[in-house]
Amino acid sequence: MIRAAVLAGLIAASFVPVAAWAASAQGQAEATIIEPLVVTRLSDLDFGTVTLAPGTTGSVTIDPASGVRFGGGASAACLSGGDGCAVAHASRFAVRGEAGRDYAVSAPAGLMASGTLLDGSPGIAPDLAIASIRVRTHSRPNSGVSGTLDGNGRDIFDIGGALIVPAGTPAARYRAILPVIVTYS
Amino acid sequence: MRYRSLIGLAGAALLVPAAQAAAPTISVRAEQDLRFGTFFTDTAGTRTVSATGAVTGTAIVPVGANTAGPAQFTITYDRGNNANRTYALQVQLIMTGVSLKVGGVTGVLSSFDTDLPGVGTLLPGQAAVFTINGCRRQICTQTFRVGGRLDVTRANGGAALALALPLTVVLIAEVPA
Repeated sequence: MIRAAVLAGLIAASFVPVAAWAASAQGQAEATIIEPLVVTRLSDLDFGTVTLAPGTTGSVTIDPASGVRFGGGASAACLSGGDGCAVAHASRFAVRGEAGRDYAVSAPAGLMASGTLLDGSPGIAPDLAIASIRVRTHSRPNSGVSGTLDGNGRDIFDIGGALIVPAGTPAARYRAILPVIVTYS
Repeated sequence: MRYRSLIGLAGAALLVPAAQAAAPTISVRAEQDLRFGTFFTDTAGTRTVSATGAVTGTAIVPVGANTAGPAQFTITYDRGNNANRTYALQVQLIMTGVSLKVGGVTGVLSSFDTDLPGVGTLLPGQAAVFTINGCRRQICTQTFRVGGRLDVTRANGGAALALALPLTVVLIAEVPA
C-alpha cells in the first residue's frame, strides 16, 4: 500500500494534467481589395495629313493642353477631316478604377514611326522620330503623368508629342505603336 | 492501521499546497492584426503572408507601400503560485477560418502558419500541440506570430475586408522541465 501511494505521488509530480483550461482571442485579418484599372483608348495620337515645303524641315507638335502647332516648313493639308485627309489631334484614353485613387501613366519619351510609301513603289520610307511625348490628365492637368479617379472611379487623359519631318521626306503613311501603361500610385 | 495512517498523511501532504494556491489560468491576447495589404485582382487571386512576414501572391497586383504583415498573439499562463522551479507547458492551438463577403468581393482565410516551433501549416479548425519551454516564474508568456492565406474572388467593385481571426488555446499540461 505504501509503495502504491508513493508511486501515485511521483506520477502526479512529474506530469500535471490540467483539465481543459482554455482561452480564446479574436484577432482580425484585413485586406483592401480595389477595383482593377481599365483603360480604354478613345482616339489615337494622330499628326494628321501634313504637307512639307520643298527643301525644308518641319514639325507637328501636339500639346495635350494647348493643341496643335506646326513648325518649319510643315503645315496642315486640310482644316477638317475627310476625303483621306486627317486632322491632327492628341490621343485620348478613358480610365476606370477605384474611386478616389491616384494613378500614373507611363509612356515612352520618344518613338520611331515607320512609313509605307503612298505611290505604291517598293522603296522604304525613312523612319520619322516622334519626340516630347507628354501626358495630361483631366483630373490633375498640372501634375504630369499623375491623375486621380473621380467619385465614380473615372478620369480621362490625353497624350501628345512632336513629329519631326526632315527635308526630302517622301510622301508616305507613318505608323507607330505607342505603349501606355497605367498603374495605381 | 499503521499503513493506512501513513497513506493518509501522504495524501494530505500532496493536497495542502494545492489547496493554498490560486488556480492556474491561461489567457491569450491579440496584439496585431494579420495584414494582407492593398491589392487588386481581376476575378480571383490569392495573397499569402507568412508568420515571418514573407508575402507572396498569385493573380493579384499589390498597390502602394507594402503594409502586409503577420498577426501577433501572446499567451499568458499564471500557475497560481510562486514555486521556483522550471517547467514547460503543453498547449493546443486551434485557428478558425472564416469567410466574408462585402459587395462583390469575397475573402476566405484558408490556411495559417505560425512561428511556434513544431507547428507547421494549420488548416482552419485543425489543432496543433506545441510546448512552451523555459517557464520558471509564476507568470509564463509566449508571443508568437500567425500568417495566413487569403483567397479572394471578385465579381465587381472593391472592398475593405476585415475578417475575424478567432484563436483558441487549450492548456494540456504543465510539465516539470
